[in-house]
Amino acid sequence: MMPNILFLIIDSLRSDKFPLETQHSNCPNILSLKKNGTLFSNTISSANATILSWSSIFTSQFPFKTGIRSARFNKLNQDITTSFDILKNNGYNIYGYLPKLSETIGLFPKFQNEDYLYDFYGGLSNGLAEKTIEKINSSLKSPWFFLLHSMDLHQPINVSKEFDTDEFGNNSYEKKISEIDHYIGTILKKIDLTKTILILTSDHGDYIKSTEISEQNLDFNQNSTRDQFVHKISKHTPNFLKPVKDQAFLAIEKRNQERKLKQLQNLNLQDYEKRALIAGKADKDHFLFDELIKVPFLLAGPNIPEDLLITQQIRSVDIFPTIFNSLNIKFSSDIDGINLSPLLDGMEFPESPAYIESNPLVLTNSNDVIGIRTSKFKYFRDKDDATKRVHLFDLTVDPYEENNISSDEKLVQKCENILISIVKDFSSNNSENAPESDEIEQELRKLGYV
Amino acid sequence: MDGARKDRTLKAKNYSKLIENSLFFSTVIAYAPFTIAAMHAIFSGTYGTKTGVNSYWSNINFKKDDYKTLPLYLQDKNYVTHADVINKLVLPPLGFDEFVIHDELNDDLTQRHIQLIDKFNKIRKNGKNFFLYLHYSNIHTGIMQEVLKKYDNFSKEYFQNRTKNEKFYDELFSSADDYLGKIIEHCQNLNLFYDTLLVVVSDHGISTGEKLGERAYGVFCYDYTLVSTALFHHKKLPSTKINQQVRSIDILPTILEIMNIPIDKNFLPLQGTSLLSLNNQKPVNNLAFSQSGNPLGSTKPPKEPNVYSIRTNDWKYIRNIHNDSEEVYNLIDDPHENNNLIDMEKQKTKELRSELDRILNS
Repeated sequence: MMPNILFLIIDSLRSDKFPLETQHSNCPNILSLKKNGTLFSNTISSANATILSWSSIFTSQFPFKTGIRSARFNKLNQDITTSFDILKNNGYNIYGYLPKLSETIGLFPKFQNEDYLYDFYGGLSNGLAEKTIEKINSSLKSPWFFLLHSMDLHQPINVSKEFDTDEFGNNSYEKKISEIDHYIGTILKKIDLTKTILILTSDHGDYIKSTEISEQNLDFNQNSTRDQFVHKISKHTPNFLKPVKDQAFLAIEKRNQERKLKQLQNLNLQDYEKRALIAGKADKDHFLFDELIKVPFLLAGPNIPEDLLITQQIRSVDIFPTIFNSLNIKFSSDIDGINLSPLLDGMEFPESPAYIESNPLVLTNSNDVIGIRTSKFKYFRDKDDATKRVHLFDLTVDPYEENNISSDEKLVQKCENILISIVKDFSSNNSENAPESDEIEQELRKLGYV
Repeated sequence: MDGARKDRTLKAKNYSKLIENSLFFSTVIAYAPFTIAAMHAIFSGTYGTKTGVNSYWSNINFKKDDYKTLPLYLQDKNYVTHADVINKLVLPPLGFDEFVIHDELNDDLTQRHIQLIDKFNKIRKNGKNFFLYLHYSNIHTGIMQEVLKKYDNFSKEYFQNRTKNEKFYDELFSSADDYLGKIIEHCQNLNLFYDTLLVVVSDHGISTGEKLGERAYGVFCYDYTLVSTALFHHKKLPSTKINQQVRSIDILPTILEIMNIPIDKNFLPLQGTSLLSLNNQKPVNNLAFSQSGNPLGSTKPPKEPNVYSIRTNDWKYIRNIHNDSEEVYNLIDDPHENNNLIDMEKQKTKELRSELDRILNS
């Protein structure tokens, strides 16, 4: 009998804030889950935002290969096999909860529970945990795959009163993680980990908009109640007023940023703190710092090693090949993700560079970047011009990515070569030579090389 | 002799007998440890960085207008040319009058190749010269069936059973040596070597589980897959065994010199040089450059090489493009390349690194 699978995505959960004993959050349930499973603490998401990250997790391919570019434009290429297709072909029934935004990209199938789409602010702490428990208690058809995407940690963060004390964290982000932990605990009570695989991961990280300076807490978190109110109102804006509404949004964001810059002017803050505090939703310049792309990946359940921490860099594209391997499910080899089971077996396994890209803005043009991350270096540059907006960081000595060493032309070239080898592979695959490529693949298959 | 390792070649009965009467190069460094790129380099005398064939996927990129291959040289000299190969990707087909693919799973290669030799002996007797390329593919066949299809590059079962892997490879090699023995015997019976040059090369070696991550070949750039051999048998050639390192790209210019065929100046210059003047007393430290494609856990080889190496008689430097790491080995003290000296041999690393860059930028 195939095990059931609970796949939990905590939107915006950063790897460095994943509840460990050393963190400020108070998370007994996630800690216990960690003891029962394997945590990959250096998982690199392919993108800094939800849509592209989803496209990559659920196809095991880098986003640029999937056809999905943003929430407004492009849907999944029709010839791509998703993880849902593979699960369905292997008898899985698909359930779960997703934000309505997911409808726009053609990646997700229709789930078997009709109420699977929720409005943008759905989260474990405002009803999704209860709904999930209700579904698990009812007769889900086994084997089931339950995908739960929770927006609790997405800005603006709204911490409930019960968790809004120092005991649960130093800032609203940490406190919210403690709150999420509580609800995860309620779900875990209903899950038998000897028969269910549980995956806990995130789509991307986020800037934490508060810091302590001279024992004072500087908090630039948005007013969540106001934000949710504005969101509700804007949903009912007539179409002819939308351009005006969008302009108003951009103007407000600009004003907010100017205000924040003024406030920070004379404060002695590190660069990484500053960029987190001033970041806004309408920023045109996009970056790919670790706080935005490094996520946790926790795997627990049958045949998964317990209490194992793997610090080697892996990628979110590797998640499904690893799950499918543990289920003995065959999957296409024509993907970017790789099966990480040797790492679970304690074997040495070569690190692969992670391709990364920023998510374009929808309302206006943004300056987007593409790049690569290895355990040693982070490199990203303008998506269309290799000479513009070049950022290179030596992660071994500069983990906060504050010292751009892009003047090291040799090193830049080396990283650019890795990036090109990933992107070029795709272009050659999709060139006019594609039929020849297929023929070569057939010949290589005869020789046992594919 | 597809996949024939140097260590087995030196010990095999028929191979050894032939080596005694031939000009034999025991350390030929393959440009690539997999057939497609390796054979294109041998046939063009040039690295895949120049010819365009640097991966499993790139035979269609071969720059036929820039590089003249062995069969084209011979066709120009009115040779009748014929290839009997394992697969259409492994050689540039230009210059072959006939380019035939055999069925490695079902054909009896000994019988098939003896029949071909008979056919071309008749052509020879009719006063025509011939070039016959025979690909012995059954080491590959065994490895494909019992290793490539059964394990992946990280299968515990494979890497924990070195003795079993060695034994299996020995069996495959023994059959290869039997094949060689029968072919040689048949040629001798026909008195073919009176006026015929015999060239026996291996394209690359094969892993028997030496390094986790490479169950067969075409992943890393270690000696167990990079070191191949080359043998030239002709009555005018000395019977000498040259142990110093040479390169697989040197094979074409050597054949051309043996046959007094000048290098065609209408094409780009070859990177290889003839080996005829080499001897054991006077080592020539030609740098050997190689490239491979680590699939990194994928089930397909990459489209571009991602492991580069440069080798001298004593040292090897490896650059892993896929994870930005480097390795340096002293091949005299550490022939199995277990002790990476990258942090200790800084000067040597610098020197080899710059040589590698020079070749890449040339």
